[in-house]
Amino acid sequence: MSEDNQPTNREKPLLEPDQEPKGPAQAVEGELEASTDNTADDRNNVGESAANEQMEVKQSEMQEVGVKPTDDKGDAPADNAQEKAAEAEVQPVERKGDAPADSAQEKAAEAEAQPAEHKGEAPTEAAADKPARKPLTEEERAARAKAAAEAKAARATAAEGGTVGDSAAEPAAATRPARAPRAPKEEEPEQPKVPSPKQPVLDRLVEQLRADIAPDAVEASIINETDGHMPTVTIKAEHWYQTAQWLRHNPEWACDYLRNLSGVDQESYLAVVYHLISLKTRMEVAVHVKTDREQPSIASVTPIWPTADWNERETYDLFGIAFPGHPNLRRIMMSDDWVGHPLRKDYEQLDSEV
Amino acid sequence: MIRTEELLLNVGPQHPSTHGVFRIVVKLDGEVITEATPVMGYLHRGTEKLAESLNYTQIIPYTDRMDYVSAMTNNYVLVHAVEKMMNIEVPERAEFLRLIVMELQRVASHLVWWGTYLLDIGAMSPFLYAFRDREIIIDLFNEISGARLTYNYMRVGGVKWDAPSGWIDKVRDFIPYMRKRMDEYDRLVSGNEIFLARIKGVGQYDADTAIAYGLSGANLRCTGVDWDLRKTEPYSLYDRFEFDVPLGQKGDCYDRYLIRLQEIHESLRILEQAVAQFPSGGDTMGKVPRVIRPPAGEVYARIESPRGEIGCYIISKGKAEPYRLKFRRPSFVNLQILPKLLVGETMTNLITILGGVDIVVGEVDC
Repeated sequence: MSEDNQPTNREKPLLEPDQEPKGPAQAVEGELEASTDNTADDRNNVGESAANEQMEVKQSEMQEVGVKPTDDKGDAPADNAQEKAAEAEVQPVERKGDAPADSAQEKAAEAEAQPAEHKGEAPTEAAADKPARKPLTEEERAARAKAAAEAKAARATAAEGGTVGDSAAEPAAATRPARAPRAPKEEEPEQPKVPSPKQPVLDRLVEQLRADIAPDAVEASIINETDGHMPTVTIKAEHWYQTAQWLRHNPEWACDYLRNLSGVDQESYLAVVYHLISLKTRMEVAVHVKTDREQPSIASVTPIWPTADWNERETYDLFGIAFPGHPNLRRIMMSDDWVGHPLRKDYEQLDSEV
Repeated sequence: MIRTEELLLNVGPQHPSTHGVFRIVVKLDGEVITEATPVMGYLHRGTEKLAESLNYTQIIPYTDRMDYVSAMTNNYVLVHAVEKMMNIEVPERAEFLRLIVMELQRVASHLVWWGTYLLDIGAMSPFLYAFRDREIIIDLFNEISGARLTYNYMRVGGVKWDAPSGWIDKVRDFIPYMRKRMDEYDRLVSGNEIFLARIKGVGQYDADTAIAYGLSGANLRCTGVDWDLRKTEPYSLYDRFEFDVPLGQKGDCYDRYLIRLQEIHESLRILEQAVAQFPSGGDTMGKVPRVIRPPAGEVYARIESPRGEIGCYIISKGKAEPYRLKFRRPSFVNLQILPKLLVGETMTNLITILGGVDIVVGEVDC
């Protein structure tokens, strides 16, 4: 506490960065001092940590600004395109070091890196000379804005190149040659297309469901490769209860453990996602059930898996999905007189004061 | 003639044995519970809603505040989910550090449970012993992360801080110390007749019930179901280490008690091996893009927290913020069995059973 009360020592600017962040880190430090054996070392650590944390926050801010235009690209309608776009974004960052020709990207990186460095010094200067703080920050802000604009522009061109490369519509003159080595790399994941080891499992499940439940019970089925090749099926809401019973009692599947139940607001519709596993056979499946946004309703599976009870109440509470067949469908997290369902994307608070 | 009347009793939300702000409304017939209705939401902060407007690194501190007794494992489940989506490789040193802090956390968490559980039942001094020893772990965490409870230690792709010099040695020294203490605990409590009379055969259920209610962790394993995600679906480096999964048979509070104590021993075993194999050099951060933006898709990551299966379900639309983030909280799921267990029990057993489930309200409400 004593350092904090003293006026800042201006003779030793070198010490400042360490001392400056002590204010916010004070609470931690109080704890530290309780155990007396670690003093100087830890103090340094704490100071450093706070300074670094600051830097990190600011850096991420920068990234946010610099990266905006690419964000829009992620909105491409087809899932496939989205994935590709995301990949395209990730790659250049890793390759930056070894591909000097990638001018646009490089520039973007520079533009981003510069202000971040600048930031790192900022606390030192500001601390050394308090009155100079304001103009400095303004100047800094200007620099930051400029850098952000530059980065934006650079990124935009880079991004354009990326999308163009994907859709092969327009030749992007400047960025094209630099990008050439990357083109085959992008197609690589498509070429092998090794069928997932779980594909036969999924195929069989779909086949069985079509035969045993209804020919149109399964709306869609995919292998979710990012999630350890999880077989994922979308079941029509009207067939869901029957399907759930089937999954629970069919000896081949015997999904006795409902590990997760999650509501999702997909804006055009609502959905509930169930993650099922059998503790005996270790068969796993994720089930999506879609429902209408205006009158959302999905049959309750509480009679099949009692664990669904509170999970469905929570989903009802936060998404407004009704679960006919549930023994006690009341709000669980929000108070009973709450208006609206907070996890919906279009949720607006009734009382803005809260 | 004796007039009998149904009594409605509110236990909590501010009651020390509810471990936070949890309320349970019980209908009493004399001393016997005829109906129990848990009421929660007092600590609901809308973490899942908040997460939708934050980027992934910003969400990590929020996970600290869910299960605040076991923040390290909560950190891990989130970063693990994102790493799974983005296919990020974590350097070995970082993964070792993560595993060490997670196992230390498991010991610390079980110590908190042990101390408070005995406090609930009426034994004051074990609480002081448990917190004395937990303090050592907290100090270790303080040194490595700069915080005592809400560490915010892990990052997508690695950990925020490398271990300070001498830290690993301190962990190494802690293992034999803790083992000695465990013997002390056993001598002090585990054989105590009064204690056994209070918990043996109380809150009993069978394996089918446990599975149907989706229980996990010690609450599931006390019925003899061999289900520990560190073994069944190995993540991190758990497949490299030798350890056993303690199982119960009867599914009562006593089995849960023994399992948790045994798990401390197993965690110490893992720590011993991890410290011995700890790589001398290497990075603590993997190659991670500047902006963490997982490709569109969804993932359900799950790990074994001290309380059971904690899961993180993320739907990404390729943005820097998750489109939907859902936490499967073991405390919330495990607590569901409570009303069923309480019917027909006495009021004193309510405390025993509730304590035996091992909940953290920050996680129940999220």
